[in-house]
Amino acid sequence: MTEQTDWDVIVVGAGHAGIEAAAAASRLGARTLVITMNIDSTARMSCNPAIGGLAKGQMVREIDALGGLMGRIADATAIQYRLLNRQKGPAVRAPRAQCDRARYTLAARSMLENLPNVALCEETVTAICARGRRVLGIQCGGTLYRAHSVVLSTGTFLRAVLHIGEEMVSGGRRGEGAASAISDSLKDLGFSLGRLKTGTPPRLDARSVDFSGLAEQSGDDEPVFFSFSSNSTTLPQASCHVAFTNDQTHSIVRDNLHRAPLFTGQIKSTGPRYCPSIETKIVRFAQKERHQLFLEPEGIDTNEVYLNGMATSLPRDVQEAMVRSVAGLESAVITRYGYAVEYDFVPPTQVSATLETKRYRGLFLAGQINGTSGYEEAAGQGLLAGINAALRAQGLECVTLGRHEAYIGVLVDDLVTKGVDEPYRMFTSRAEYRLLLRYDNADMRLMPIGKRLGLLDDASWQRFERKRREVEDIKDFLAVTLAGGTSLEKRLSRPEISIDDLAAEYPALTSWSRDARDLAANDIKYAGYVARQEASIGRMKKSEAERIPSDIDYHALRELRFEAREKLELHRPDNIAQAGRIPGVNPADISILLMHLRRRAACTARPL
Amino acid sequence: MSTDDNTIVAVATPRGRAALGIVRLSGGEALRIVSECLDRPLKAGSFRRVESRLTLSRTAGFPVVLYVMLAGRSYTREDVVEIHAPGSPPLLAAILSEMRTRGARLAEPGEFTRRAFLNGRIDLAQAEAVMAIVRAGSETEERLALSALKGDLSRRVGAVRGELVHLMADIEAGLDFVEDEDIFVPPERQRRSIEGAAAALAQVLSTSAVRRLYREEAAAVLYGPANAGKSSIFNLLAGSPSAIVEDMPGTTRDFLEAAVDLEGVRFILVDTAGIRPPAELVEQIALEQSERAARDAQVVAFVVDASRVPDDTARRLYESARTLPHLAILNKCDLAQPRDIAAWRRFFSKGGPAQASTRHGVLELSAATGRGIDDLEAALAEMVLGGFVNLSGSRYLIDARQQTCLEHALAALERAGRMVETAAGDELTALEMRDAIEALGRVTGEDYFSDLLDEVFSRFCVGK
Repeated sequence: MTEQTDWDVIVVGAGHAGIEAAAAASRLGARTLVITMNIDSTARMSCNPAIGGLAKGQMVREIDALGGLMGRIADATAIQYRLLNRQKGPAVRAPRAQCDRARYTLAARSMLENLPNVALCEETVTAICARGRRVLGIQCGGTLYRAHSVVLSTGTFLRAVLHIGEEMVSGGRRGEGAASAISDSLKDLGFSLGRLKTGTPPRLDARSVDFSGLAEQSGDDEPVFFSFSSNSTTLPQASCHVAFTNDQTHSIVRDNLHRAPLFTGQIKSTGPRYCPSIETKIVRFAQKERHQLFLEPEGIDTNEVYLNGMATSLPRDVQEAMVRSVAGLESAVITRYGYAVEYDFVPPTQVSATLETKRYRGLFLAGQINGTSGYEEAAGQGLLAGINAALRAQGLECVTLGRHEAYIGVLVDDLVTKGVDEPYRMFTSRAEYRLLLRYDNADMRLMPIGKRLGLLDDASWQRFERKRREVEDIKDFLAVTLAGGTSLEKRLSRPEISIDDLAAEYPALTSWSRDARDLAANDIKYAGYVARQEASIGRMKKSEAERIPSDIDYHALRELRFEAREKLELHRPDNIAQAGRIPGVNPADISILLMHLRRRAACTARPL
Repeated sequence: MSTDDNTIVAVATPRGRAALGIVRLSGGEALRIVSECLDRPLKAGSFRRVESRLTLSRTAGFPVVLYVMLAGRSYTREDVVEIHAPGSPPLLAAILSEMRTRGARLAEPGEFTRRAFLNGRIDLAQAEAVMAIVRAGSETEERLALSALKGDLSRRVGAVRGELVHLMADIEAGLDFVEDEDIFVPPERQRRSIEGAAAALAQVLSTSAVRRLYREEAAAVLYGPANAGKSSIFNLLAGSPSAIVEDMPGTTRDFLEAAVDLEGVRFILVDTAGIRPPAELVEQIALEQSERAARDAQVVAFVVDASRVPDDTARRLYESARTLPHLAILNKCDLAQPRDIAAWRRFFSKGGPAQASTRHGVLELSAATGRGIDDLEAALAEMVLGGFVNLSGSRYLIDARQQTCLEHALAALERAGRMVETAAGDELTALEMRDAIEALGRVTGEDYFSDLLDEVFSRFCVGK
């Protein structure tokens, strides 16, 4: 076997997770090799041509605050921006953008190619190599690539099967192959694998759509960008359109359920409940008269539109009939048919909160391989895995993000402590500290961490420091300026008063940037609640600091209830906080576990 | 969670001591909480013993002696304040309730000891015993879950929680799935649901008996004529393999008392024979014991010598026990003639223990041979689990932890109601509701997020 030069980090897969892993490793100075089956597919948007949305938009900003790529790629290729939940509280607002699909890939590829310390190689991985409890590298056919750390971010490609009606082909994305050797290799290494399903809708030729009867949905006049470094749009902006299914659409689906892979048993794995196929929607919500469809433009110089809301794996002729039953789409021409994909994943209780596998030092998993769905979820994990892969290669301590620090922290903690039984998507309601994890303060929360780790360039840090000073100045101004005996700060804490109201009265406020003004105002609005949550965060941090040794034998802890022993053995939590979040482990079990740890610590500390 | 830093409180007086009652607090807020009820606040100075007056919100001040032990020196290695007050149970209960209003929470079984251990105060040898106590507590919980009263509680609290999850699904779907459906819950409906749930919880709390108010155990008093064999039975029960004896420092004992775990229920077993006063005072003291048992013991085990015929002493003593939840125990059955046993059965059949428990009313036993001791253990446990004990007028049996959770949920719902009223924003209403639902989930053992998602996805067709 030929041996390739030693790498610090090898990233397998150049999707949304892979490129963030490579970028983070590169920033930390790790010599990094990215192996992908197709360089032209870098950061492909396999599903809808959009970035962000509720909870996801916050995550994109977090990625940006930690020096990641996603925000900048999205801003460079966005063709429509919307701030969701504009009428609701700041903690549940989030930016979303339609992007030009082709340009997104090109921009991502260009950024990836230009990362210092990073090499790209188009190859198919045939095995993960390990010795004892350490990863050695990966193998592509007859070549061994050695590395200190390996990040697997293989997306939906492991033993992937595409379904369109009765037709089944091997592949992780339409027109591309599957990576089956990696599944076998992971099994040989002792990992257990599960299987999940996801799907896409058909895409149409815009020239065949009658837009005249469809409601237009245009973007915001004043875009909210993803990246803290962006300040203008670069592409012309476009609109989406809204259409609806009807009785006829529903009858077509119902009449053809015997040909739907989801109902015939052809697809056995679980799909996401929050993103059901049109056939699932119609069966499960039979009483609903219509379902909303969004026609999203694929880009500025293509005629393709993405029919969001009609994910399906029904046969081609049914897809055509179904699409054409919709008002406005009577003569629509399908350019690409919808399909479902089934793929292997590694149930994520097998990785720790650093995304390193518990089994092999130096082997990291990120993205859909951990059972998640969504570009943003993948990117967030890729970033964390890339950071830790580099730190590991440099012999340094790995890092984690807390549930109170970032949605990325919530995501990873949920994955490793609870596992998944459907593709995992982030919601704001998953975060108990939702008021803290806002899109507007992602930089305040995470840039200091990014700076400490060495992920930020000087320009980003200086911009951050400027904004932080501004926010402090605004808060001072609001605290000391009195109006009729009460401070502006106090007035602002009333729900019906907005910072814009105050700015109208006190033009001095407008001398500061809008971002800083809004951030200061939102901090003040939530201050009371946040203070209350601090105590609970303090407790959580304390129990997070209570580490559980990795060699603990739960079966030997006879004082624990049987169920608790089983659950703890299955999840093998890193610390007491995680242990407490495992379903089926109760507070009494945690007490016993803590006491055991103390006893054990005291025993080890005793001189021989 | 034992890693939290709440201040905990419990009555720490051993059973049967009438003259003095001790309420003990441990935790960072202990000094602050007690100080609020004193004329002059406690200072974290060098003193240890303070004579002062304690004023509760609904009583005039009364004299107490306070022992202040600062973190590092105390048993738990946290700030500890002991309030030594007259030993009247209603007064102790009032102190307890005042301390809780001011921010302390009821201690869980073995929690002082657990904290002492976690803070490195007690040595390794004791760790095993502490774990066993905690485990016993949790097994009792599981057992209780099967009992009728607890089952009712779970069902009732589960129903309230279910309604809240239903409303929460509306609110959260309205926040998280704005792109998919237009979900809007009118404030009026939110307010009605929240108020309905709060009222239901308040009702559960007001009709609940708190299990094991004192140190979280049920008290069982062995009581009856001299030489009936109470001490032998005590030794059998206390020495049975499942028994756990927990030493609580800072308590004194005037008579025999043991903490035992019988069928998953923790009992403080009190042997009234442990006192050996001058002979002429036996009866009077025994009667006083009985009166005390009437006030705070949960079970009385009335023990007689079955080999002797019922006499006036037995009759007089039984008069004071018959109105209490009790069992009748015919000891020395190995020596007794069938007609003696029949006579005792007749003695007890007149308005006797059948009132408390028809199934276990009269037990035949021999402490000498061990015969029937298993039945006694089962009967004592059943008295508690079956709800025959001190629960008059109560519909639900809850423990301190559950009470804390229910009160926490109620407070959160009141805040949620205010959020709706002031139109503070759905994300803030949701914050309080989540707090409430999670607290109720700790009573019913349900997981917040998976339930919420199930509710959202079963009702709303979300996802593009």
